[in-house]
Amino acid sequence: MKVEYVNPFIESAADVLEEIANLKTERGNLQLKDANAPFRDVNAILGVIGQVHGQVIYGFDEPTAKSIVSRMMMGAEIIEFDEMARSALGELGNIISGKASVSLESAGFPIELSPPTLVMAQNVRISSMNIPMIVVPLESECGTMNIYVGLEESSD
Amino acid sequence: MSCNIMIVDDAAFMRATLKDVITKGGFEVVGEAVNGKEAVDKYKTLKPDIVTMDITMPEMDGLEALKAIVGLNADAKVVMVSAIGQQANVLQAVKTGAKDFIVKPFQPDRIIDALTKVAAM
Repeated sequence: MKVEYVNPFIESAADVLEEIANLKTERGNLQLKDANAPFRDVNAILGVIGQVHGQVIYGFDEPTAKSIVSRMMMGAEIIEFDEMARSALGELGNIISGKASVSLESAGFPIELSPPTLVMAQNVRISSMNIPMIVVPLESECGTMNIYVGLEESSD
Repeated sequence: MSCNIMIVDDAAFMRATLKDVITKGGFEVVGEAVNGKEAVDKYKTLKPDIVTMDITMPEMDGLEALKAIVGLNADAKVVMVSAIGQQANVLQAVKTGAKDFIVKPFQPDRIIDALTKVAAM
């Protein structure tokens, strides 16, 4: 797991949140995720295939997810995660990863992304199989968003 | 000149955002589709002047739908609106006949400028 796979996702997330949610973020410390630790309450998961493969997961606690989606929807109050709110969160994951994929392509690692899957549950464990994950928190006035990147080079 | 638009995107949020931008820009949205297959079906009945087309969608992706729509009408006006702005995607879309390629996230003006330009083609 190389840091050069992680940085494009972190930089892209900061840019995209500022652009579509008018939200300034601060990057926390990069850590190796404990494989047994649960994820957050709301997670947007995207599969990656290509020169590198694995998963990227954007995790939030529920109030943070609602508050970011609300900002994406011109301040509309989000009471529950209906189709509109869920699709907004999925689209956030999609746009961040899409932008990161352009940086990865320029760095010589072309990838393809799956459509996002949303997992909403407490204490959920998502296995990335044997690929270790790096987690980076992005802090903002909405709370903390965790970016989990578990990617490894494809052996062809 | 009235100009009818069909929006194709699997995310309800993105369809609503695009509809808002397009309507405020003075165009009319005549229909929406949630995947490429539905887009091709609705293209036949709605006959929109311009289609905005996402790429990553279930069932049939936007590049396949673009190909099918251009196959139905060689003069079809399709503008890609996708988060995946990788060179290979952009090139393939333009080669297949897309009139423009907008990368998400977008500024509303970028959408309106593209639609205005494509409408005049």
